[in-house]
Amino acid sequence: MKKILSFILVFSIILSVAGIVCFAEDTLQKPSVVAPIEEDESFYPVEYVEVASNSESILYADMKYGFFALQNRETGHIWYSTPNDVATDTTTKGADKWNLRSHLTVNYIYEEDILSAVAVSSTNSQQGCVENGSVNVKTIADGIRVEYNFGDIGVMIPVEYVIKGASLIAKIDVAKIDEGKKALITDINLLPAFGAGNSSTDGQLFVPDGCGALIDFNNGVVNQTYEKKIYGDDLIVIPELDRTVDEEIRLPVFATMVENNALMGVVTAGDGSASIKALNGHETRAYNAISSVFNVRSLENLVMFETKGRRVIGRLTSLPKEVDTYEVRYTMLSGDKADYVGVAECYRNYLIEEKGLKKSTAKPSLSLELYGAIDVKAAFLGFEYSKIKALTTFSQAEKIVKSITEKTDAPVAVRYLGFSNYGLLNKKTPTNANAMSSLGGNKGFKSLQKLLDEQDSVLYADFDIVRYRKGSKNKAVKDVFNQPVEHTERLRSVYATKLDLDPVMLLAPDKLYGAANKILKAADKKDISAISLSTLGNMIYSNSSEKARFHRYSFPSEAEKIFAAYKKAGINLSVEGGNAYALPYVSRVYNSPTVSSGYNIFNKEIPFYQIVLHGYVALTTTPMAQSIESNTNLLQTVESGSEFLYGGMYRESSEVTNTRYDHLYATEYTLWIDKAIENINRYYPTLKAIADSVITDHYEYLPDVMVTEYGEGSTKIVVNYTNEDVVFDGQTVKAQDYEVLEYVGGGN
Amino acid sequence: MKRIIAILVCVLLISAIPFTASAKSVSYAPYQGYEYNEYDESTAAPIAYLADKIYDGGLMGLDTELSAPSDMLYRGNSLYVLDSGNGRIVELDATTLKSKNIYTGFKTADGEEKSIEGAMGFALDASGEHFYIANTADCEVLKVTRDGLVTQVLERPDSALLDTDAQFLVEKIVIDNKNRVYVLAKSINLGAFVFDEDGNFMRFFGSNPIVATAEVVRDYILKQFMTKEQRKGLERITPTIFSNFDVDEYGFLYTVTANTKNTAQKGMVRRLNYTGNDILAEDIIFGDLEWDRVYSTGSLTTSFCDVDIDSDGFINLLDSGRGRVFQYNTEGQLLGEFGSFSEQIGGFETVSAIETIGSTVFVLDSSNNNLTVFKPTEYGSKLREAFLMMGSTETEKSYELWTDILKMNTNSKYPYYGIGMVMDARGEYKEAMNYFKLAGAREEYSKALREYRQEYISNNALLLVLCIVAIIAVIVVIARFIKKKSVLVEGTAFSALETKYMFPIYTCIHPADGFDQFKTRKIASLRMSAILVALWFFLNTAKFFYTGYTFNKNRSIDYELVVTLFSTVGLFVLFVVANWSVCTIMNGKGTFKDIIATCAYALVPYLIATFINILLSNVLTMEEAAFLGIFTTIGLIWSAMLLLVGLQSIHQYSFWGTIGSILLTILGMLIICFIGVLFYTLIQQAVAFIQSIITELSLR
Repeated sequence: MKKILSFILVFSIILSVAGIVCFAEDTLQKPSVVAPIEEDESFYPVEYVEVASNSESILYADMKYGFFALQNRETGHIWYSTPNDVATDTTTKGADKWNLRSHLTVNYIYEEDILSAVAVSSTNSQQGCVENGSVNVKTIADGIRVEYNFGDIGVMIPVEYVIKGASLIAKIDVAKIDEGKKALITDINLLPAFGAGNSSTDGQLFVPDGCGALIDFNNGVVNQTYEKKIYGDDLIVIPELDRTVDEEIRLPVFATMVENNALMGVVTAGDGSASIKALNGHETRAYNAISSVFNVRSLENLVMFETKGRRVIGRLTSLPKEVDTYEVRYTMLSGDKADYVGVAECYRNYLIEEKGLKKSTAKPSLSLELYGAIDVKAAFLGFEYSKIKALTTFSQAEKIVKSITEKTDAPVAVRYLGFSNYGLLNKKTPTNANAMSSLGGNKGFKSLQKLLDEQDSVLYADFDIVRYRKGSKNKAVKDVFNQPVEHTERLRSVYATKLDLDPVMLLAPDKLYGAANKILKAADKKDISAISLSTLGNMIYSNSSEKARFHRYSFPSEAEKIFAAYKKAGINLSVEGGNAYALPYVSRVYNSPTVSSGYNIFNKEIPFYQIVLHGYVALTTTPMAQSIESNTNLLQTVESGSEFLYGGMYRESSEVTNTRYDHLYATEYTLWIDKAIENINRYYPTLKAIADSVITDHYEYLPDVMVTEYGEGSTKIVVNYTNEDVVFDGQTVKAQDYEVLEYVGGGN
Repeated sequence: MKRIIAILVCVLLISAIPFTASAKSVSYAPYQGYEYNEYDESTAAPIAYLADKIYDGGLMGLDTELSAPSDMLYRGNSLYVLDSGNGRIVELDATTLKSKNIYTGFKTADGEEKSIEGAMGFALDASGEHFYIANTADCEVLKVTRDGLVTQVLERPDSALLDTDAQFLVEKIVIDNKNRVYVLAKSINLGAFVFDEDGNFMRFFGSNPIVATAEVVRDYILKQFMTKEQRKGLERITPTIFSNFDVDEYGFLYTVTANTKNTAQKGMVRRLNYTGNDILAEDIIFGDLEWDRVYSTGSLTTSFCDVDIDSDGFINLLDSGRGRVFQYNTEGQLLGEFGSFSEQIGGFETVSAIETIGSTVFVLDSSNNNLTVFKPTEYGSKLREAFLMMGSTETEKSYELWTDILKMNTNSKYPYYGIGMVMDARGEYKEAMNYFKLAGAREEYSKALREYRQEYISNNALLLVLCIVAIIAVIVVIARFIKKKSVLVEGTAFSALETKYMFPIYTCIHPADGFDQFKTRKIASLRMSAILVALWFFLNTAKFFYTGYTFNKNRSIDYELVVTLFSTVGLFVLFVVANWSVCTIMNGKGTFKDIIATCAYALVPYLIATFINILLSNVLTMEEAAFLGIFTTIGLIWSAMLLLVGLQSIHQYSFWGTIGSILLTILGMLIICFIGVLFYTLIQQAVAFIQSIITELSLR
């Protein structure tokens, strides 16, 4: 018996050693391309030479065609710019076949076709450049510069690939793009297949949709590709057909994760005009890849109704000079850093080092958003007029705050919407910070501020400098046909406009700084030290007005200018939604994404957004009353370490029925206050304890039972989404409930 | 030693676990929740149903994916899916949705193979032993056992009502609790074919009635003038066949019909009794009530392709126009809707069938070849429970439920309705009235009003008696006053009633003499006429706002000043002008002033009737609406008579001449209107033309 056992022991030791030895040999393996099984004309023999290296990575490139490979010195893993076994692939069909062999996919339109709104055409660097032998590669410091000459359409696009530390920086030198005489580029998909996994690899793609989602390699979902604009669709285009309900991409980061290795991509320049594109493997696509698309221009249609039907004319948006670079930084991760928690940590470090993200100074609180006043339509003998209806006056707000703080230790973080100017939805762009007299005036506001200061709480005064309804149409954003863009309210049932409601216009981006500055000065006069610039962190847009052209590309930096000015003036800032460019400047994000859009192509969703930011920015979730299931919302909040958010008004919510604000149903505070106090009393000690930590791990313990770990496992929060009790480490976690486990002296 | 081995084994096992980082499964609602208020406008509401999971062939444990599955049914512990593209029936376990059995390879007793590929529908008989499969392509219905033996083939029956060339394209089958087999064949619109369990054709059932729309009426009229050949060429006015049906536990057949118009229609969903008549209430319209107004792709509209009545009696309708499920209670009150066309969980590409097990709803997608499971949210569950409790005696529980629902949705009319019913049952009628008003439930409001009135009367009998005495006193005083004024004043031939400002009252009671005096005494007063017309305008406005709630569907924001002005003052002016024009031509003797005064003074009875109506409408119930009608009729007839007599007097026409002149006046009014509209349209066109030129210029 003993003999057999010892034999097994020795055998297994030899196996593992052999594995290690093989593994060690892998670290020195050079990149290579798998040759086709049969004679294949489209096969280009690739010869990799080392063109750059540093202590963490090595860059190889083929100096004839520009194909490159990035090697991780630590693990030896090689990331190929296009899959190296593409020649043996017989599965992939259609456009994918060539796009996945290319470095660039270009959408373009010829100048003479624009007016008739012809659909854009597409070409790729494999068929357009490599096969024509029109690729120019030359070495530069730390990398290579590749010029892709698309002879057929007369376009040349230069891209630089340099390595820095464990990263590869891919930069499209937009200023030097030569578009020739005929074609105009609309989109460039950069490195569509960099790091792609094939049909026999296990792995996942991380998509930053909403809070974050994962696509398993080769999940077989057909007919669905993921391509979505970062920070949301351009608001100067009003879609003709209904858009489905979904979540926005808030962070310009994506990743490919295989066993022990991951490749994270961050759009470091041009995130305002970029999209994320993810392809999953299925029966007619053999590869799984995620990449970014640089949205250069867009072709917009105008429908003219004439007696003989409708005519569509097209116009192209323009590309201004300031758009000179599009840059994506790919960072390699390995070992236990190669999962989504590691990717989140890596992105967090990027925000800290490059964007100035600092540790959070916000106190963990129960977050509230209070609705001040709204304007409603009233009629006198058929003459319509608008009147202001106060939903929560300042003294009423004080009552609400007091009834919470009396019964709980937690401070509150209040965002007061519609407290000044014209209420929840601006009539004109706000220019002052005068609290509305129907709510109690400046005196009432000051009194509320004082109360909150005493309670160690914060009161963010909300200003919306983006949207307005009445006022100069010259200041509004205009579409490509120079018409002011008017967003009308839509019915919830069908895609029809509510004709009796004023449309909303957006302030032209170049006017935003001026408006924000006015507010800053006005707030200073009124001693307002905490401001919520809600919409500025939630939406981005361009302007095609002939006099004030503005490309989406520049919006994040314009917004950052404003945030920086506020921060410099010592204002405690918060925003809504939470786009990445706002994060280094704000103390709190309201309505941060708690879910992803639930696309069929996704396999799982993860609180990536919260893993990145916990400990650095206070995050709140969807208001309880507007969430689909309030208990699920509570569990998601606890899982991600965020703060509860309750939206409230003092008056009965039936006051908003039949108005444009009827989505604020069930927000009167008496309906939720008891539950809120109960929830926060249970959660606050934990919230306080984890306030300074980062999320160090997050995983699924059992199906739909999630564990989030803080401080290397010293605190574990177990959330049970199932309908049965489970046991974690000896502790019972009830169905649809959570438990917090503290471990003294670090994790297990 | 053992420990070392154990540790090593563990290490080996752990390293053998494949790499799968995992996280919580995904759920989302790619749709917004809404309900309809009493004006058929959508209002925000919480979501009632949420998608739980999507099952494809793989998750069901099948070797091949489903292919264009077209129908589903639930029986016992199983969910059966008709996998048309693969020619098989898949039996899934109702809880795990894992495949239990596959039925395929059907053969007749002679060994002939029957393929059910492309079959569009199926049903299970009462015993659960036999499937009836609508084998569409072969135009036949197969009755098969679970072992695959075809025991019966139902083909197109001989019926005198059928066209000889009509094909038996069977699509859907339903079996009622008496084992009668209803078969729906595409494009045969005589109703469902009804077979007995032995396969004998019995009759047709439940054809859609022809709706007398304008087009139908027009075609019918035209037909009368057409020749035989022309008539043949015309499309036959035939009812459309319904698209699907279901039987509830009581044996009522529900049919749903696809829609070809822009908005949801009555009759798209019917509940048929044994004689084939629709017993659903007249005013219920299912589906989306608002119009899409999307110009580019043509309007989307609600179009039902399947229906399922769940075990609680809720009606679940599958809308293939918008990819939605609507759930209603038996009274036709909307619980909620869910689903959309999208690539997200809870979205579909093409919907083909719906089935329910308890409160869980299953939707089959024939393009994505999968099954989505929807479960009610907390809001949805509570609403279902509350609806089921309506009319029960457990008022306290009902009250609690409705209050909870109101807490979750303050826009909804249902909690107010539910609480109103509770108040009504408790006998708190005033409260009930308030709640019914908030819910827009006029019938119930009226009933509660009646009870409240009863109560009020019995409680305040003394007060009421005093009121009645007071009213009688007032009437007596007025009568006396008039009598007094009718006495001839000293020294004149006329009574005090016949002064300029009292004249309108005089003409009411003595029209012939009164209107004559216009000519003789020139007593027509323009001032009084203006006052009377203005009074007409104000009374109409008051009617809009102050008519009792039972009869008043108006919203204060809908009041249109211009419309009221036109329909009173405008109408008056139009009539007067037209009459003057006509009578000038017809040699009438009345002056313009006379005509104005006549028409104005004739209004008086009608105005008094309106005033009384406004007051009465606040205390009458729906059943007593006749009283309001009586007053209005009296007022109108009296006024009409006054007008007739007045015009006859001032124009000095004969009786028939007056009638003739009135008819011509009306014609004159129409002509004036027509010219007015013509001008308006011309100007509009001109303006639009200029506008389009400006747009063109600005875009160049």
